[in-house]
Amino acid sequence: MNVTVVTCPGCKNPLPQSICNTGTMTLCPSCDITLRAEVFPAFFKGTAIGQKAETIVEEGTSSCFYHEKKKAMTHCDACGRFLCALCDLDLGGTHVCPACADAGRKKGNVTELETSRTVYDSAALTLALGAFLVWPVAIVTAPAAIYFAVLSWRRPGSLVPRTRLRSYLAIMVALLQLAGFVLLTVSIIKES
Amino acid sequence: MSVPAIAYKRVPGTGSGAFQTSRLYIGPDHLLLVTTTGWTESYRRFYFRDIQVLILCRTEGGKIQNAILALLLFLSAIIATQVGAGAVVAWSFAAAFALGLFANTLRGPPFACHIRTAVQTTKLVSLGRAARAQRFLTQLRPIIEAAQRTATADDATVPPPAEPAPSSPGS
Repeated sequence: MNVTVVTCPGCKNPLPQSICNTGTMTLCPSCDITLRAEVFPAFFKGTAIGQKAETIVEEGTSSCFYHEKKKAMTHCDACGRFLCALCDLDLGGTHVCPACADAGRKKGNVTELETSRTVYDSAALTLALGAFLVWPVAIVTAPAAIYFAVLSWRRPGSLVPRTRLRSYLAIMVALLQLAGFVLLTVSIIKES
Repeated sequence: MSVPAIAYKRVPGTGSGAFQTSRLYIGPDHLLLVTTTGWTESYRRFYFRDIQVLILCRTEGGKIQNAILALLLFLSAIIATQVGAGAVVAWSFAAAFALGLFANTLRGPPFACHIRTAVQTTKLVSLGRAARAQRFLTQLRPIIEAAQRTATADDATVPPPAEPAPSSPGS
């Protein structure tokens, strides 16, 4: 088992075990910075060794779809292909093969694999409010903000729960900007 | 293939950086760090079974913030005493900086929370102040311990000890 040390984020010196898991703020003995360290069992467990795929010994044993000389341990819940230990991907209890996992990630069906998303309601609000910095561009950004706000209702949003407040606010601000442009145009026409 | 959506619970607090904000959420088996720019969100997951260490560490950022606010307050007061007609505006700024300085002091010292796994150490910027960070740690500790106890039980591969062979009669 490879045991490493817990170091102070300030001075990078090792922290003694006595000041870990106290539940209260203490001082680093090296740099006197106030800190609280919570160490969990995974720290002492070390790095887990991945499971090896077993080689087929007996003829007639089911083999992995991707590694024909490796023994199948399970099957893909999406496509049914047999999988060895190397190819088996466990996503929250669902076993999938690498191809289905990649396909699911690209389609946005597998949230565990998503690392980023476009949030159209934030984009709409950014466009609507950003136009106040350079107001003439509002003639372009206001319709775009309305478009993105409506798009946010039809496309997958954030992974985390959020209301439609941003999209409503973006539409309201964009409409006010467009109304302002209309009034400005009317006043210019009247003066001329 | 579709996996059901995950229910997340938000951890109070928002961290901010250069043109981005960060928020933390608790999922069923992991922490989710959400970083938002203008129109994209980036996600980083820290599974409970992988978390080795959580460290709260006081930073010097609060002192720097107070020093800047105090300097601005001092400059505004100096300007207010020197100008004639614009003194009201200058005093308004001074009052705003004084209020900011008072609020920053009341909120308590800023803390940085570092989360360490086997492969990375990440700073959680949304847990800015001591009280909030400590509450988060106290709330999270039993959840992580329970997840790691479950993971240890699932990983157990040691077979149970063999039962002793029954002794034959007459021996």
